[in-house]
Amino acid sequence: MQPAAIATRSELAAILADETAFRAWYHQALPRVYGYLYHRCGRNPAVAEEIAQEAFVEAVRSRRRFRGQSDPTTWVIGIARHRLVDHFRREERARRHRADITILDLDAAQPPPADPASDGIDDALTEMPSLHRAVLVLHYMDGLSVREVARVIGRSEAATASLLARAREGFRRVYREAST
Amino acid sequence: MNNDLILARLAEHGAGRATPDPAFEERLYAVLAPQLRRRPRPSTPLLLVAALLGILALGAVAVAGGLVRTPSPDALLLNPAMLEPCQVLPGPGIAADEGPRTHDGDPRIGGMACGYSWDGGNNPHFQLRTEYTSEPEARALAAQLMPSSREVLIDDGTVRAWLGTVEAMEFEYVAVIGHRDPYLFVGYLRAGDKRIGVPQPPSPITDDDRARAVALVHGVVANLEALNAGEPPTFALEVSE
Repeated sequence: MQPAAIATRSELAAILADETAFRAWYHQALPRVYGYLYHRCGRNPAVAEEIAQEAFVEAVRSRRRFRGQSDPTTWVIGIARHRLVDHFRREERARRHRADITILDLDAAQPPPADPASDGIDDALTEMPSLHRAVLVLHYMDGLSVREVARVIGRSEAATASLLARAREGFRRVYREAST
Repeated sequence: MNNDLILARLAEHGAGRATPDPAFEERLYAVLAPQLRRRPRPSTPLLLVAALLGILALGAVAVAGGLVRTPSPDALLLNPAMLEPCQVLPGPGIAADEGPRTHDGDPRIGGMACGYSWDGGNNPHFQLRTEYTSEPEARALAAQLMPSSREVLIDDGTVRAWLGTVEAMEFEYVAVIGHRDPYLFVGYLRAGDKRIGVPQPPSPITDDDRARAVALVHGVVANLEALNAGEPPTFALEVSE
């Protein structure tokens, strides 16, 4: 094992061994994890909180799986990323299901109010199908390669490249329409 | 707006921090704190290994204590008594018109037939039988071709033993009908898209069908004998499309 990995594993062990240390780390880590999610889920605080909670709980429960290849906060963000993709998948399934039924409660279906700081990016992302949003987030925001995106979403590299091309085109179109 | 600029904005968009609601921060901490005091969850591979070891230990105790009986290879072999009424046939390669030979010096074996049969369909059930067949098609064919034929069914285990590596077989209509003359094998077994034996029904039955059927049955019976003598079967089933 690399010395750096041992150091980060020791770091996590020290954080988890002492409640005070954990609290200090948690106060630093939560804004990063929450911020990561908040900017990728359409600035929806409820969704960001839900996924952040899932990620932290899973990280603490499965702390033995931490290999020390990154700092502990990055590790939690990695878990959050997978939960975010799960969230996009659930959204996509729900969208398909909704296509067959009439939505009676229109208020509940409204997107959250637009954030003036988002510069139209969030609005455009929210308009995109969930799977397109997932690949855009993973590739452009997280900087994953097409191969890495394919692994995360469980598709072939060719299918992911094609999906990404469609998502990119759709995003440009929606963004331009929203800007004009 | 330039396409690259749009994507650059998208990329930058994900880099910002955000401040969570303090109430959420406290709520989540309250969830995490008790988890910290618990022992970490063992990894899944460790759990699997532990479960496997547990199952093996329980199995060993059950076998040693006589609660579970493991199948004995001998149980798969044919009981010698089952072959008593059978004629002893030469192995594959015998000419179709040569016919079976009888067991030297055994007065009990004469004009009896020996063979095996499945009653077809999805019911591969085998029994030793010495009475005339109750399978209508086999009986009708037997009556048509061999007026004094008889049929003997042999247990499932034996047949499966000589089938050896042929797995997942779907048993279709099979009948072996014997007389003093060559045996007739009608029907086939199916393993996937392969057929073993003669396509059924061979109508009209040609001399060639008959020759193949005879050779096959000779091989089958030779294998039964080998198993009965504690030797490995030597006849390889011919698989045809």
